[in-house]
Amino acid sequence: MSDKNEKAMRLYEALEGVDPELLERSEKKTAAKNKIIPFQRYAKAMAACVALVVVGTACWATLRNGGDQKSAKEQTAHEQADYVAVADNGAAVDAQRYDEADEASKQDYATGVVNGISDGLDAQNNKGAMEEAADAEPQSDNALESAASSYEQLTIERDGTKNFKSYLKADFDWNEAFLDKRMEIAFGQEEPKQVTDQRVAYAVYEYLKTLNLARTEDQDFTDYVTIRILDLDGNATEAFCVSGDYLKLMGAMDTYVILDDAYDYAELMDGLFAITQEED
Amino acid sequence: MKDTEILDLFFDRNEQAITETQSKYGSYCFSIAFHVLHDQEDADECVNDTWMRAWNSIPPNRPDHLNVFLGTITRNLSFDRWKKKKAQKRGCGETQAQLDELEECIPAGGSSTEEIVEAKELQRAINEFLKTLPEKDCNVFLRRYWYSEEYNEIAERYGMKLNSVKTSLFRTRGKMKAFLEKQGINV
Repeated sequence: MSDKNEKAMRLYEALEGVDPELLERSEKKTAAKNKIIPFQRYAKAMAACVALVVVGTACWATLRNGGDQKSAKEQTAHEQADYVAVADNGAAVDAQRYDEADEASKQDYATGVVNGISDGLDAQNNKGAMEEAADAEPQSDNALESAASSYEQLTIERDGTKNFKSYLKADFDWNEAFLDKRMEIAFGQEEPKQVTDQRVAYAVYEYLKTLNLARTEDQDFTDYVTIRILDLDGNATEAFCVSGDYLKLMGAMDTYVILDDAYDYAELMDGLFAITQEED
Repeated sequence: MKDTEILDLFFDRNEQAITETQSKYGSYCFSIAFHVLHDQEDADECVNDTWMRAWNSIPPNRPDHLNVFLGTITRNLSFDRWKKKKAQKRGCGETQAQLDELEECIPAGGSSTEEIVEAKELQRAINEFLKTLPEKDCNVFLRRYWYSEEYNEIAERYGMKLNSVKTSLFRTRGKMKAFLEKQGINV
């Protein structure tokens, strides 16, 4: 038995003196609470649900209208009559209001209308952008190659070298702050996430290939891999997160070890340091 | 039956104490033994030995936490049995894996007999360290190295992901090593 193993046994035995309060506390089962669900991970599912609701509503409305057109017409006639009556009453009230209104209030009203139209247009534009983003499914080989070349360009601009691999450092400790940082740095502004994610994911994929590590059996990759880009002095200058879905898309999941596992993480860090030293 | 009533039975030397203890803490102790030994027969024997040892030590002892008291006896008996089995054949599964992991906690330093701290001192340091940990990390650590539970059981218990459990343990081991080194403790 090795010396280390004996020491480990001593530690194991020393644990018998653990405070009973701590042991009792550990007995309580707790469920995961306040779990943050990354929107982009479930975006497709959410979009599908919304689409189902819209289609369902449309079908229901069509059936209802088609099945009872006559009664609908009668109802419309009644509604029009009611509307005329209400409008007559409303006109009297409006007339009084307009008489009392001054020039300033008219200007405010006009400004409000203009703003309302502007907001409406913005909403339409946003909707269009969202639809475009949803349509964009960068899964083809061409898209990957394009993403890779964009990433290299990005790297060349940043530190003047194509060899980006030695400047990648990974961490699995993602949180909201990292996510914010990623949004800020990777995109510069709020743009569809897929493009930049894919570029970074491609870099990770390439990097994993260079490490040539074996895949672990109990691999359960989830959430994100955070990548810090280091400058020549080893300071972290930028950070990104790559979602597990993208690595899966790249095939990295099936062939190479994923950074999320603690042991593999340690190996990965060793590999990174070794490569950095070689280059130094 | 409440723990105090069971303890009263022990103090009265009433054999019903064993029956009641077995009924209340039988599965708890069996779980501990089984996680160490991974053998039903061995685990059963350890649990029976636990009742015997409890019978011999209560009185004079009157533990505040009967479950932890019994659990500690079971754990020690199971670990002793595991060591005997290990001497007979190498590679005793999960418990060996836990020891391999605990090697990461061993502080760097000399290993001469004079430098090795007393077991009590080590226990005190470990307790002090555990109290510096966030509750969740502490719980995960104890489930793994006190109760000898497997990763997936811990993940299920606390509603965590498997990798989060591994990550938590990995970090805690690193912290523990640093803490013991800072305290100047050699194992």
